[in-house]
Amino acid sequence: MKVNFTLIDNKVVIKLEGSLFVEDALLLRTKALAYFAEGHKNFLIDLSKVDYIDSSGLGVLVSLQKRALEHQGALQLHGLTGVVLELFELTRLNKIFEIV
Amino acid sequence: MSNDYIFGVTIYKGGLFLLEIFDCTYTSLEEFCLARDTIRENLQKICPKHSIQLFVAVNEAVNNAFLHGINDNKGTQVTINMLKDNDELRIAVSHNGEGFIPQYTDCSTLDQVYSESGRGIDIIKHYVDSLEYSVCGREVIMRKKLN
Repeated sequence: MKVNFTLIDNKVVIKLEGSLFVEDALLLRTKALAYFAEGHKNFLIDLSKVDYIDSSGLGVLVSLQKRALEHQGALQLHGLTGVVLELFELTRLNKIFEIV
Repeated sequence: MSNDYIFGVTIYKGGLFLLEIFDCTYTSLEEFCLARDTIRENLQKICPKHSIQLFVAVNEAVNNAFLHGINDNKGTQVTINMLKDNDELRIAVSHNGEGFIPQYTDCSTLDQVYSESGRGIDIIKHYVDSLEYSVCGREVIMRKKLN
């Protein structure tokens, strides 16, 4: 999986590409937590080029969203399609994330 | 990967039955990671209509085995066995660790939707027709009708 972090207007934009498996989820969590540690609290995760997220990846997204909310920030998701969208819908995670 | 690796074996029984078998054992999650593309491709050949959904189910079951079932003292072994027999695909994921039967939770409930774990079984149940445990919880068997 390719992961790219950029800062745009004080928002951490994370572009993911490929499949998000358990090992990728752990790396994503570690890198995102480093941004929280620097004081960032607003995140946008672009999933438009992601073809699969396993349950570990879904769990990491939930944990990052909780942390953002704890810091009075936000975590937005963008570009859910195909199986990724289906997984969000069947687990109802589409109801708790802000999808832009 | 272990020696008991069988890929894409097709067996004719008296010209009546067509069996396709995939059987492979992994000794670490890293090893399984390297084999994911092969499993995807094999599922695409065995069952093109449901291959993505079945890959999701297999991946979740293997993750569960490595992350919750393994006793490293014994040496890790997680085996995937797939058998296509006419109109049904049977997928068994077994491991040599401690048996466990995950508690099924409906992850769509308000209490669970904010949980950071516990979605794997719910996802598997969504994508297969039946899910059962055997060998004291060391094996999960998933079945999918292909027609």
